[in-house]
Amino acid sequence: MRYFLKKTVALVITLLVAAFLTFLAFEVIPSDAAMAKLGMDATEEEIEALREAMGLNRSLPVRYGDFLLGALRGDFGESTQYGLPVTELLADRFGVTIGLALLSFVLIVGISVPLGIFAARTKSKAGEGIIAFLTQTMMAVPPFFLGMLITLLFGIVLRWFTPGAYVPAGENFFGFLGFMIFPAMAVAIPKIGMSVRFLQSSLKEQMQADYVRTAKSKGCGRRRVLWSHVLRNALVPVVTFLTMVMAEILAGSIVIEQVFNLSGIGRLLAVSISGRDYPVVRAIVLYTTAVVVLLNYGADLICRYLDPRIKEI
Amino acid sequence: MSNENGHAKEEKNLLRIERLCVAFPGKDGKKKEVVKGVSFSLREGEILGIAGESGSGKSMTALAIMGLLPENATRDCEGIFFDGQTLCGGKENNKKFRGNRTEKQREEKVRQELSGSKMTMIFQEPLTSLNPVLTIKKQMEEPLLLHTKLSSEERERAVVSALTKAELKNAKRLLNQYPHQLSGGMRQRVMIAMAMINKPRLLICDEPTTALDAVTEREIVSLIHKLAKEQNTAVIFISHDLSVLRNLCDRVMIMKDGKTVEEGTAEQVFERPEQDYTKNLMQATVKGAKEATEQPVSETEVLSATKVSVVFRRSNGWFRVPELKQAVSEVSLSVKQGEIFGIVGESGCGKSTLLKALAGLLVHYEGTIWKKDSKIGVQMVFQDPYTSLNPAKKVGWILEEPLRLNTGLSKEEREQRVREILKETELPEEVAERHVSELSGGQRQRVAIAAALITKPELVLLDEPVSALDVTVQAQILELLLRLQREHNLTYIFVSHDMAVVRKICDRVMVMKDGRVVECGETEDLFVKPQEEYTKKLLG
Amino acid sequence: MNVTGWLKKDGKWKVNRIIGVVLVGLAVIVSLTGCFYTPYDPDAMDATLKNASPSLSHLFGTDNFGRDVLSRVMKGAGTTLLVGLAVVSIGAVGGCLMGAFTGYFGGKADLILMRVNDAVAAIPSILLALVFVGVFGSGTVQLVAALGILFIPSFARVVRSGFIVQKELDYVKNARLMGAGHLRIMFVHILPNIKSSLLSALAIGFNNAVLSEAAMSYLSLGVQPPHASLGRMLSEAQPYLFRAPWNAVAPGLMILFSVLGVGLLSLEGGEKHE
Repeated sequence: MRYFLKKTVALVITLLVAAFLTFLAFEVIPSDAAMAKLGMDATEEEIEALREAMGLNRSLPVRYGDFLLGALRGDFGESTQYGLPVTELLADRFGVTIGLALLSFVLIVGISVPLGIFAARTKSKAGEGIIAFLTQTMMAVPPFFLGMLITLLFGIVLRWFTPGAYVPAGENFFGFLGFMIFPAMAVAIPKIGMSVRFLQSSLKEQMQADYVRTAKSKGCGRRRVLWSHVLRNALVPVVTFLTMVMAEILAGSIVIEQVFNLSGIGRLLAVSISGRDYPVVRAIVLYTTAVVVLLNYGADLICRYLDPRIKEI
Repeated sequence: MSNENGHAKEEKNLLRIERLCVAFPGKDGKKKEVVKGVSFSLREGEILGIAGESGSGKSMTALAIMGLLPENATRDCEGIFFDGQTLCGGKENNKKFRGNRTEKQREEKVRQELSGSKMTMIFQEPLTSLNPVLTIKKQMEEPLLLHTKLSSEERERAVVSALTKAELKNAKRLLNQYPHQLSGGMRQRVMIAMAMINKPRLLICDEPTTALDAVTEREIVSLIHKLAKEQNTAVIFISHDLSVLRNLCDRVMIMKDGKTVEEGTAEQVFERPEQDYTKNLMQATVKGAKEATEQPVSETEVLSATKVSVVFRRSNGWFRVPELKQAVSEVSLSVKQGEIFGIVGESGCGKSTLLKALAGLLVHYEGTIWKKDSKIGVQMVFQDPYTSLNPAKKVGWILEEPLRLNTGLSKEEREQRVREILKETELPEEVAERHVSELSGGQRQRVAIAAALITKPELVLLDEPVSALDVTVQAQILELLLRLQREHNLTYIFVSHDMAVVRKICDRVMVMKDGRVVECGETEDLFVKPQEEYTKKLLG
Repeated sequence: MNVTGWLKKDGKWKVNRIIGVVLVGLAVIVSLTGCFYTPYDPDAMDATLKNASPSLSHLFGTDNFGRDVLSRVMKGAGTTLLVGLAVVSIGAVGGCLMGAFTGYFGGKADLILMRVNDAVAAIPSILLALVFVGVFGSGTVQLVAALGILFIPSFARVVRSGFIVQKELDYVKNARLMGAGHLRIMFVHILPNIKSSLLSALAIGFNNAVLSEAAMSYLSLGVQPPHASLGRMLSEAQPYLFRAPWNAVAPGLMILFSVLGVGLLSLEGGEKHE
């Protein structure tokens, strides 16, 4: 219980710090929101008036407080590019990114867990060499290049899907899956390489532990050693690792959305950075950070449950 | 010799091993044999001790019986027979079935059936040998789950009674605890309880007390003895420490370089050893008092400490009041030139912390420490020569470092000095060009001593300098230390948990417990007429 | 250490290491040659040869502006690898200093720095790089600076955990008794002992840097036109993926080969030290 409280307090502090940093980052930008909105031809007075109206003349802590309150209410101001409330812009695109991330995550876990266990159990040197080569290759492909190859192969040559024709999950779930599976593959493949390697090495490390010898001396067979001893111990590092992978999936989808022309958060971010649409950028960074921090928080709590040795830190 | 014995009494033999070989793949693709044709047999309820120095193959023999060898090891034998079953090989089918899958599967099946029920094993390091994420109950239950048809309540009752038999108090409360919550001695008791839960015919103990301190060691050994006699379980007890085996075993086998050197009843081997190696091993086991030296200890003080206290603060978190732990409290001592001053006590008694404070490695201590030789500072030799010498550097570089830092000697002069000190510590000159990892344990400790002495200090602190070494090497290093001390009129402060070693080498001894001085005096007086209860307990 | 001994183990060739050497060699040769010689001017446009398929005169064909793809790959590989090297150097030097000091001295400063480090490391690096470029503008220099700074935490973490283990070992206490100063202990005594973990961190870091550069340039936020970089080329090739796939395949494979090569070399690096 104390651990839970402690982690929760730490969570809130981290979120506040992250919010402050994001807020601060956009305060030091040389250009000014008012100037950006009015353009270069605006007179001094016009800018000054708008600054006053937008509340830019108030002190830093006051504006931070405002920003925080706004963020809590889901109000991030207006996009300078689209002239729409940021929240509205984000809401439209959130589904796409979350769908892509979840599908990729399912692919990664579903493929790399059995492969990793197989890789850890194989004894042949040649098998190990081939697994090492394959995982390294998967990790070396730039995801967007992979996306282009997938588009070329499945979209243009085989015509299994129509590039650019995204189907929302709400309209036709199988249509959504039939399209999303391809970008999800592009996101997942490099991470599968990483996960297999990680699983292989952590399982192998556990298999050499002394307690495995004890289990065998009690008469456990290979299968029982693996399922009730080794996997149980390897779970903690794996959960931590998968949390990190989830965070990277979110980041990886920025590029993949661009390749597959998906209008998700990532694509909006790229467009907003090019167009210097700071309110949107700020909101996206804050959201993503919050998601990542929450993921880590969840992972910490799960690990605490899985490993009795993790005490108070 | 053992074969004839074995055949004559085959009916009563519980375990028979014939020409067991274990090999590992070596560096250059060749196989490196660590067990070379070992044969022996064991009767019901008999306790056999296997002794030998590190690398003698004693642990590998035990693991081979249980089928627990590391995966890269290869096992070859004419046969291991246990309780009427063939664990491995068998003269006729050995050649025919080698590498045959079905034969391997049969062996694996037999192994799974027998281990945990009829034969069990306990290991050196009880913390890592227990599964860290499972409760004691879960782990203790496993042999019952695998080999019996007991119901869940019956299993719990069996676990509690096994724990109680292993002299663990509050067995019920232990059930839901995890290994990291127990002390080292308790963990080893849990391991023993778990091994004995199915009343096995054979228990193999692989150095089960090496990780424990002296008092706990004696308790664990007598527990194993008691349980084995009660349940008529045969025991193979492996140890590097001959004194442990002496009181415990019916029969003893001495191993060296993968071969059996000598085998016989405990009385035979200990009282009338036949082989030279066994005799060497006995003599190397340090015993007796210090030989008188001609040089009288001078009255000049080299180091004195008054009321030294060390408090460790462990802070968890930012705002919590730090936890305080009194490691050393108000210790005073004074060391005279040319004497060897011993500090003894069990692990955690504060002796190493005190030594660090004396060396100047701790900043936060109370009290005063005065040292005569302040220019070069004191030098120190640590327990484990594997960690006390920088593994990334060559020996020559390591030995030159103190000269580089403290003297203005040129490169040639430094190399000259390195050659001299290597000669003095009886190391070949080529050692300077090697990395520490290429040396044996004894050679490493010699290098560590050379590094401490190269700046010619008056006072050297020795922190368990021989505890990590094999007995024969131990004797050689102690001899070297004594010779260097005589030749250079050095002063040593010698910290150890090993009473025999302290008696052999020290002029005066101080006994410590829980950070306090229990007793202090001339070595022989203290060993012959200990004043305090605790000292008596330490002396056994 | 002789060459065959490095490529062989127990009398068997280490196939993965040999492939690694070949791939890294290829990448180095191609990008080094690209600095001095390319078959055509990589930026020269030829309106008559738009998206020409590979032929003897243009081995990898030409792009939408009629530029020779091989020449651009040679030039672009140099840019990409150089950016990768610069980023890793900044990250490694910064990370070593930060990790060494925090790991060796510990204390409150360590706690604070590591909290910040964890916070930065928790956020995916490409997101931060995007923000950084968004704030300071896009371009090669900004890109190197942004990625370099973002790579510091991961190196600092590796070095710090190495130092925390090593500083407790007796050889460090021994060095202090010999009279070595803190700086000497940190960089002469301890640092060589974490060489192997540092080397594998360098390999991973380099690969991440190359992939990040490519991704950023692909999003038009890194290297700016008309300069060639592999990511940039991929970005320009995408609209013509159907008509001229060679435009994308050549730079894509170049990235794949260099990253795979370094990855394969780093695979068994740790084994020697055991």
